[in-house]
Amino acid sequence: MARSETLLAERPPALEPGRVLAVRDLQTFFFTEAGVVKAVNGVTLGLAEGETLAIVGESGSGKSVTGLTVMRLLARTSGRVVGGSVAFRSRDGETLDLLALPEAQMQRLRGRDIAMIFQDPMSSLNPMFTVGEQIAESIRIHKGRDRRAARQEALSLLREVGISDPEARIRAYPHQLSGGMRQRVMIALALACGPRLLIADEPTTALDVTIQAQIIALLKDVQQRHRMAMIFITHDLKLVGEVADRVAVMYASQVVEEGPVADVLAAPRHPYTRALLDCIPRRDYDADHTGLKPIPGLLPSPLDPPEGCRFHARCTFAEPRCAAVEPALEAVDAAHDVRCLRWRELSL
Amino acid sequence: MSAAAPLVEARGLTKHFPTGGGFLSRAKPPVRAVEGVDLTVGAGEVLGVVGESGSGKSTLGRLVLRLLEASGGEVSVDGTDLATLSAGELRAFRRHMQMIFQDPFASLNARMTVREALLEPITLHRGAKGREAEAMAVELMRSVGLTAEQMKRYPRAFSGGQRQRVAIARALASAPRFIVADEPVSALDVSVQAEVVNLLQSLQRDLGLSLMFISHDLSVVEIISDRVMVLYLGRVMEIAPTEALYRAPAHPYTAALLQAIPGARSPGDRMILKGEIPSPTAPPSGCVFRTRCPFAIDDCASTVPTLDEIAPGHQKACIRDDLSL
Ligand SMILES: Nc1ncnc2c1ncn2[C@@H]1O[C@H](COP(=O)(O)OP(=O)(O)OP(=O)(O)O)[C@@H](O)[C@H]1O
Ligand SMILES: Nc1ncnc2c1ncn2[C@@H]1O[C@H](COP(=O)(O)OP(=O)(O)OP(=O)(O)O)[C@@H](O)[C@H]1O
Ligand code: SF4
Ligand code: SF4
Ligand SMILES: [Mg+2]
Ligand SMILES: [Mg+2]
Repeated sequence: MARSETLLAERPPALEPGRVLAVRDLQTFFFTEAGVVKAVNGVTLGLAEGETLAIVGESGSGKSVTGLTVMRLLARTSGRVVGGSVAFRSRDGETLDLLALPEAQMQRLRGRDIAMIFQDPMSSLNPMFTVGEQIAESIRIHKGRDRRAARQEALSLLREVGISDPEARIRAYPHQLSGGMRQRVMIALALACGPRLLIADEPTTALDVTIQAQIIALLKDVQQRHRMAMIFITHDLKLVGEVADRVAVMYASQVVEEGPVADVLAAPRHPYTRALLDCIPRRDYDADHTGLKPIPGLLPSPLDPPEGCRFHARCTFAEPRCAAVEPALEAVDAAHDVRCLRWRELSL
Repeated sequence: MSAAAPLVEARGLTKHFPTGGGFLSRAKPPVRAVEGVDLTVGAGEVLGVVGESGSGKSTLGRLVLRLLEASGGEVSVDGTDLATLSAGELRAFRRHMQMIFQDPFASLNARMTVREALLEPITLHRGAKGREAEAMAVELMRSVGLTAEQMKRYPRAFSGGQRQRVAIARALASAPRFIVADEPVSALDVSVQAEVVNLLQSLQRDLGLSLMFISHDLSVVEIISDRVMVLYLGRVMEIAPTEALYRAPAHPYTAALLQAIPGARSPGDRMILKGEIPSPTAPPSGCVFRTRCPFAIDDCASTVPTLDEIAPGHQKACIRDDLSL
């Protein structure tokens, strides 16, 4: 993912004051034997300091790859950024072009300025080391602390993320912890160096609602205390209203709608967002009916995305031109974007 | 639910899994996965079962179908005490009761086409052959929204939602009267989940099936269930008609679960349970929920709450009657 491999190097990324991140028209493809997987194919989103943006979408829509691209963690895969830009403001206030940054500099940024909580905590914790060793190691590398100091900081971090009996737990191996506990360790690890931006990829998906509520409360609490911006990746639209200020809805590798949570959930402008909302189970006792409206059909394959609007085969509002013309992301207002040919005329 | 005898009736169901120990080493305490559960499922009724991971939902489901030998208690289905059946009789009786799993691969053989997977129970349990069996298979495919054409495929050629439809078709193939569905939609995307829930619900209504619907997703359980049972550490905390349970939970654990549903409450206004479900090898004395209950009093450590009726069909196991939840 060096600069030579990106096509849009000409466009220097810019960041308005108060913003930490601006992703513009990002394109990340995987070059596989089966063909080119266009995993991210038009993602535009931005984040102000201290703000939470939720990325929501069905399985395979490109949420994780978006996060991994921002973190520049695709080097060991067949993934390449083929277009777009990612601008990030470092803790020194400098605007960096993340896609062009030399790997050595990116490595310093990772953990220190941007941290990620991965979708599968087991794959990102090393089974051979205790959780204490892993957190202390990160503190030593990024903050240059000695062993004793790093261990002390690791202990207080474990305490901060609500792990009871941290003196004992610091010696535990990942497999000895429950799912909720492991997720707390992941959060402690991510917070170790006080990042400005945290990318949390489905941090509560595998957990019970009770533990999910604990983890969300924890994330919001640390976010406030550290004035940290957060990207919260989820497939659960119900969670979005709870965690985020803004939401980006992804469909088939693209952002199809982005805006303030209250606007998007109460008055969606994209037919897909509307359809997703209609899938959420809500019982109406008076009507005694589920009212669940599944979205017909399937997510198209990223190997062979359809012409025109990606959603046209499943959209109740599709017109013939939707199969031919690819909609651009347009501004509904200063804070709300939508990618639909018919957004002006539809009332959803 | 009709006044007639329930289709499924279980009393005192208990399952203790032995752990390690044994020969020469000191016996370790068993995992008390399910502890003295009574339940009924009426004909055509949907009983939802909820509770956190490890609360014993799957174990209970398997005990009810006698897929697992109970350590105690009894189950009867349609008046037949399952414990009295020989292995052969039980196998034949299985046509009346089926199970659907979270992972449809668990119930589908990857090397069998869907056609073969459907024909097997049709011939075994319904005694149909040749064209008649084939027609039944096609009909089953249609009933779950798939085509006859798709019968030639292997399970891996289907999407997650379609695979779950195939698993449902196979469960229906023996024309059962009772189905235990263990997290049948938990692995699916919300759009696909809606589709499978709608399908299960319409089949259940059309065929008058009795269904035990196990899930940790309280929103899905709410829309599909007539009554809901709340489990914690293998014990029933509360059981009630769905509307009563969701509108006016009587047990602190139920209230906490409901408040934790995203969007159900503003987060500041929510009871957040501390800690995690304790180990079922050493459950707390008295009320098993007391270590996490915000309303626990001294008596909760010494008194085992009984499951008491507080309204018709509504029972709770909590010694406090002075709570407004
Ligand atoms: N290393 C890889 N090689 C090839 N294809 C990949 C790779 N990683 C992801 N993909 C593909 O890219 C697409 C987007 O994947 P991604 O993991 O971003 O989805 P997601 O939205 O995070 O889904 P989920 O909700 O299931 O986590 C998928 O089609 C996926 O199969
Ligand atoms: N074969 C077994 N041997 C020993 N312990 C078991 C066995 N099966 C289940 N258990 C234990 O019994 C308890 C109940 O497990 P069960 O799978 O019934 O819970 P559950 O409510 O279905 O959880 P989940 O939501 O995670 O599926 C757990 O503590 C589990 O570890
Ligand atoms: S462009 Fe057409 S098909 Fe796409 S979302 Fe809008 S109306 Fe539907
Ligand atoms: S019996 Fe006590 S500990 Fe148990 S639920 Fe009631 S108040 Fe809470
Ligand atoms: Mg993902
Ligand atoms: Mg289970």
